Amino acid sequence: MTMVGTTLLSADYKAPGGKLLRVRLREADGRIESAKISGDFFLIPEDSLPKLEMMLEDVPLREQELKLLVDRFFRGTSAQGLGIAPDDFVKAILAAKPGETGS
Amino acid sequence: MMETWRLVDVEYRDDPFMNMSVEEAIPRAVGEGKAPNTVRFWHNSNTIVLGCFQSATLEVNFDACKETGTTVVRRFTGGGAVYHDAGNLNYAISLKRGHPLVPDADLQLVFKRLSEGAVEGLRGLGVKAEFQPINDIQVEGKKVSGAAGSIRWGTVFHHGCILVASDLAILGRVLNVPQVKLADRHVVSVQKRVTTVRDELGKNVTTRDVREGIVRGIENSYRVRLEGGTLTKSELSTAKDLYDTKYSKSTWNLEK
Repeated sequence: MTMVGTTLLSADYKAPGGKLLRVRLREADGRIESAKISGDFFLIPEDSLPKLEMMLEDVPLREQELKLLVDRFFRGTSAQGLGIAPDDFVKAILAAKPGETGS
Repeated sequence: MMETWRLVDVEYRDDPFMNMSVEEAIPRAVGEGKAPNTVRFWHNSNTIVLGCFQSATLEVNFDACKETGTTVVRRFTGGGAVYHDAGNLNYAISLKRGHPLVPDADLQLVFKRLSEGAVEGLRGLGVKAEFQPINDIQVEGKKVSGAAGSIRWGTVFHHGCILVASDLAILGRVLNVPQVKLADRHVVSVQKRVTTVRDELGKNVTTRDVREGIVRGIENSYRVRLEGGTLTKSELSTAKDLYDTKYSKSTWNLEK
């Protein structure tokens, strides 16, 4: 059920020369309520992705905050991506913002 | 002395969930030191195998799956969805972590090194195969094999599926390929960017022929000897547990 003031946002973002990130967000008042990230990328350890999705909850949908958070995720988990760079997560999430276009 | 790896042909052609369970049980056993380094070959009947991060809702055309009798399962490794049928040969390599072939915990290196056996095997059969980063084997720009892998449970794991004589028309129907991905590759459909070993050689090659080629390719590339073996009791028991708790469940296969 969608709550009042909640918007569903989505973006498919292809990392240059790499893999696809598909972002589905619930957003309210400029903040992420919940985030689902899927795609054909590689990330090890694999069970780190739900951690990133959880960290994104209640974070402002703004580049600066997202960059800091994604950096913190990669540092904290020592996760290794292939076909996607940390910055691609930021770009994919921002591409879901109204008025932005995914590449 | 030449290193020996175990070679297993354990497969459940009509049970893709059990195939996936065995696929995970082997690297777990290898990492725990309960099984030697292993190469497995196997087949699935009509099945979509999703990467572990993919959304079934977004990637799968469920109507086409129903019409064609295609099952959907999810694997434990990342990467993209692949379509398996009897014309598709799957191989998996499990090496204990720290093996000199892949000394660093670097997934791109895993794909490069552990694709070499398949590339060499295909070349030996006359296919102009080349490894194409990130995780493909291509023939003149067309994909003939995709791979995925992980470094987990103390194991370096790599698996790939080789399109030997697959039905590319079904492949094109059961998977939804996002426009953003097609546009990036400047091609219009799945069928036009993939090929099969049979089409490349223009003769009626079987998955058995390709399996034999890849066994030779692996032995020559890595200077190892593959010795036929079976799964241990412990591996079978792990596989059964994984079947019951994970791979036979729609919560694992479809809910992402």
